[in-house]
Amino acid sequence: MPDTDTHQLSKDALFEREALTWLPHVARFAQSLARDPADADDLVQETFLRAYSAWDTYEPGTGGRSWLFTICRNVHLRTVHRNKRVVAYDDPEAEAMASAGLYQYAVQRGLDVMFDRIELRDALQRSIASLPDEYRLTIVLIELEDCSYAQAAQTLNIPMGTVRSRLFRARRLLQEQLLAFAEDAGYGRGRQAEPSFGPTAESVT
Amino acid sequence: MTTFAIPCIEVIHQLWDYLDGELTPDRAQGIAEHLEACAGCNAVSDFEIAFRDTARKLLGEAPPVPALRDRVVAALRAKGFRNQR
Repeated sequence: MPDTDTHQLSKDALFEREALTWLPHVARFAQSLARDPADADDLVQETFLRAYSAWDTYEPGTGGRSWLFTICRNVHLRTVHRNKRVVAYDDPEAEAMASAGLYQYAVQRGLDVMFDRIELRDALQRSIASLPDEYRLTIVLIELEDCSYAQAAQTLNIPMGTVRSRLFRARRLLQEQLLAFAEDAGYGRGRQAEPSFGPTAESVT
Repeated sequence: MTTFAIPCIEVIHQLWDYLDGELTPDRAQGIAEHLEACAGCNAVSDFEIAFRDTARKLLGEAPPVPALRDRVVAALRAKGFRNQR
């Protein structure tokens, strides 16, 4: 067999092992980017075609998944030409207070143990889908794809501090929605008043 | 009132960093010691852990997408890719 064929086979075997193996994860990430299933599938295909074209620049063992996520996001941005920027809620202290307030609210309603007792899969999927893009992408990378803050920052091309604040906010938004779902489904002690998820004086000492 | 080396507000602020393993070892140790001694913060931590574990359990595994894989492989083959399977 000529050397060029051997090289090609070895390159393709490596691509299959280090890139194609992440296809389900790239597909899920693409769905969180594109929302529309057909657009997401197109995005996945384009991601792998570009990755294959650029495979010679990939350093084996350096994290094929993160590399593919970055390509996927760049392809998506170029495809839709989106310039929309959402200013992330970036007040760590207020977020911390609000987070503790949310927990207090759950305790008051008897919902602090809901994660163990209620079937939340559909509600969780809907809640993630309803998050603003910035928050959804961040939480998908960290919670579902198990990326570090640094990997997520690189993939999304944002500072680590922004990853942190978006993640904090995304988790709280999800928890609020799951609490509302649980209450609407009749769990806990019922809705007594308009919920207030903001910081409360007694939340944090 | 008990006085902690790290105040509650800082623990709550850095709780997710701690749970995500993003703190320095010294800081993580400080947070861990606070959680051990502070029932209030420990309860919040338990709540966040339950949320995280639920999310990962329910949604953690990316579902296989065989039809999409076939489509992608076909497109790659048109570019010269020769897969083993």
